Amino acid sequence: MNRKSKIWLYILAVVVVLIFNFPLMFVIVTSFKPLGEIMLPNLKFTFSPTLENYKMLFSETFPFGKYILNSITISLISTIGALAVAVPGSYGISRFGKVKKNVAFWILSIRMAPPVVFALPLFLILKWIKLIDTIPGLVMVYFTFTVPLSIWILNTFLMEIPKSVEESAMIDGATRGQILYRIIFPLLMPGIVAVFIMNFIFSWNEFFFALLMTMDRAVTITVGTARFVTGYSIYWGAICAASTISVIPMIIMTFLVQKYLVRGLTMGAIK
Amino acid sequence: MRNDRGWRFVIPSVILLGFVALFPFIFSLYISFTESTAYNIYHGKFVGLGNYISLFKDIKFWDSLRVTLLYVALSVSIEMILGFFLALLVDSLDRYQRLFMILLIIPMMIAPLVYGIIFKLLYNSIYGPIPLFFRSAFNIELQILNKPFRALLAMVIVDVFQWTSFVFLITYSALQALPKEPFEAAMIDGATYWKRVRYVLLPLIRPAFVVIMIFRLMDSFKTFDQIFVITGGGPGTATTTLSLYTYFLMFTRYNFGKAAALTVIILMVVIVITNLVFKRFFREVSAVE
Repeated sequence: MNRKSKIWLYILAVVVVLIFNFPLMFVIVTSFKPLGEIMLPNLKFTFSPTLENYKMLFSETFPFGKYILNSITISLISTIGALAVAVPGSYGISRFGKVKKNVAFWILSIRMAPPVVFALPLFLILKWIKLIDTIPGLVMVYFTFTVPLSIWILNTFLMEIPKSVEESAMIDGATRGQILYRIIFPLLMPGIVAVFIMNFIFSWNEFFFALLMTMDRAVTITVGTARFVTGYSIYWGAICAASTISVIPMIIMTFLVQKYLVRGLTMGAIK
Repeated sequence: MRNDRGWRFVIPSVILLGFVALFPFIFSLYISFTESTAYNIYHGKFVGLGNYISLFKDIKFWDSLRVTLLYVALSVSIEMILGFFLALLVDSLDRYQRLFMILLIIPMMIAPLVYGIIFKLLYNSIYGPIPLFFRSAFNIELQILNKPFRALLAMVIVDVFQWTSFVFLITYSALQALPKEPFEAAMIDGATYWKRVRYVLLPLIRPAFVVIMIFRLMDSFKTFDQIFVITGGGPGTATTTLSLYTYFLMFTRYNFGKAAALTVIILMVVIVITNLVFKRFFREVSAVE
């Protein structure tokens, strides 16, 4: 290929990047627009930047700070809790043939099922055990996706650890539990970090379950953002500021896990 | 290695998943055979297959099925084609491939709900930038969300904007992992770029492409957040997908029995498809790598 067509390829790539990131750039720019200028019915590209939308988020009218805190708490607990059962779980599945096939299929089915399938029974169960609108309740619901995801991704990492490592430890008289926590655990660390971040992203971005299971105390950042769309008016300034705040940490995390992103997103089918 | 008591390690996961996934499903199955509403959840009259029959007679069910299939077919096919060509484009750059890759995968990291709200603003017929652009450039008053088919297309566009990056990322990674020799051999034989793509590259990435498509089909079938916040299923039922229809059955019409019947059907279909996927492709791809 000659030089000239190479340059065209780069121009095309830049245009594509700009098109696909236009919605995000638009919302970030709009979050700094004065409220009165967002809803003007004409295209205007100049404005004097302001922080009034961000101030509004943290004013007394909207407890947005609480929503952020709820989201951080819920995402952290559902992530760490899932890892606590998934590390031994994936180890058991990857090393013991009999268990593998059935559990693996079961886990994949849960991953593929639409959340709406679990919504009604989980809602009723939470009502029953009085965990509606609480952080533990929502964490429990989030386990429906964080646990299968964790087991499956960790499994792909475990398959890369050679069995000879364990065998020599076994000859030295180590028990299964010792092997898992002394030998496998350190080797699995990159996988655990990747799973941690993937779980965090999925929990942070979740909306459907949070919409159903929370009303006031345990409202998350996504439901909080949607609340700015009311029957009477839509608080666009606040929405754009809230969206910007919720998106930035996710983009940073994406950069951190990009090496393992493909594996996480396809449940290890492609690396 | 001996298969000694390995199942012990699996117990906590199985108990937890049993409680949050299997038990709810059994509960749904029970509710689906009763006449349950919000007021008598546990004492609903046993109606056998009544809910299933009433579901199949419900025109709104068939309507939402049609909307879902159209939505899924349109979004996934556009995403697969666009994502594939984007991967080819980035793969053919000499430098800065990694930078372009990272910039292109940003959309899928944004919460679908947030993405939906952004498009709700972009589509707004009075002050949304897209209608504003059409007004000032072509003097056309573009109403996007109050025409049935146009609203559905608008939802497809949101999906495409967000999830083309998924197809792109996975295809791109698959391209990176391909062996170089077949391409060099084809080049020596004088095959043009597009000939090489058609006869060497496509067959090589076919297994990966199938996996990508399955994940996109399943995930776009699940779509709820964006549609819920942009149109709420309207105008009329034009954008009411199966997920939204189920949601309305549960939480606005409180017809728990019928909603449970629908989720049982959905789950059965998903399990059958997952079974096929599991047998045919997961093994195949895992074995290749």
